[in-house]
Amino acid sequence: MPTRLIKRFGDWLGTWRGTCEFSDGRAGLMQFRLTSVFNGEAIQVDTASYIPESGAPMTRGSGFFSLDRQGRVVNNIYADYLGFAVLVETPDDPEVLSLEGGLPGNMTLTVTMSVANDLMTLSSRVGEGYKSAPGRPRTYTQMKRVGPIQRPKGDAP
Amino acid sequence: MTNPLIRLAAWIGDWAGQGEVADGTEILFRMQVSSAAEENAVCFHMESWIGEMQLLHGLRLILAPRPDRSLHCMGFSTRFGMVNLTPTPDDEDVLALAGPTTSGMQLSFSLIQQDADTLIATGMARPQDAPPGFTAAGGTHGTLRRVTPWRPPGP
Repeated sequence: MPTRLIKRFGDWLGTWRGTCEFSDGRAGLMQFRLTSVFNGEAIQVDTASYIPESGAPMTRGSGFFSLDRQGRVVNNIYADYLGFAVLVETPDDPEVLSLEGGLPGNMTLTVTMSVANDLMTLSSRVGEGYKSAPGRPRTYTQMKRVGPIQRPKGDAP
Repeated sequence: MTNPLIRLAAWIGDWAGQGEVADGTEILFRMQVSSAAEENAVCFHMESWIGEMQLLHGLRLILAPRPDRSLHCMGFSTRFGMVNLTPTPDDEDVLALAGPTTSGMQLSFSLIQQDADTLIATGMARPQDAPPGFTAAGGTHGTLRRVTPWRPPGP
């Protein structure tokens, strides 16, 4: 019996790659890998971005999705250029996952993700204060799935 | 691997052993330590089992440096939800972590190196609003030894 988390995000599991544009204007290649852990109790998200010309790594990060008692997604994240944060789901369209949380230094991180037609779209924005500033530049990426859908069969090592 | 994590590189690999929880129930431990985020972080995957591999507690942690190079740890626990742990000062051969969970608990976890192939693991949780002097009723401890995956014998 799949967990509520897997019922909602099972189709997101797998590896996704595509081009991205960072908020400072740099171009990059982005990879997301979503893996079920503890039989779907959580989803681990590993991210990496690379310099397009050389393939050298630019940024890396990891995170976990799970559901809180209200059924909202809670996202514990680490990114080498941002540090650590806990993001909580904010209201949005049903097929969209929007997350927001505080960063050190009175900064706020917002992330919006969706999957449609096997294309994962992600945008993120860092702003100052309790709410991220809508006018700020954002990091934007669209990624295609690499390989077949990885349905959860057990825990990944 | 980045400098603050180099001392943990020796722990990378598979570990297994036995332990017990506070009520005396015997458990089996399994832990995998691996590098993560392109060697910028260390991932700890821990499971304790009772009976015929029934999961009692699963804990997966990512330990990594903040932008200011200080270490921090985040992860997911099947019992406590999201956890955020900070290393606490201890001896060089000890990794001691403590911090809050999203379920309102304060989690403490430590790994103590006995020798190159033996680690002592302890874990404890108590409510964040527990009064001073509160004694946590639950706790887990066990001994982990380095293991290597079974391979068929050669010809």
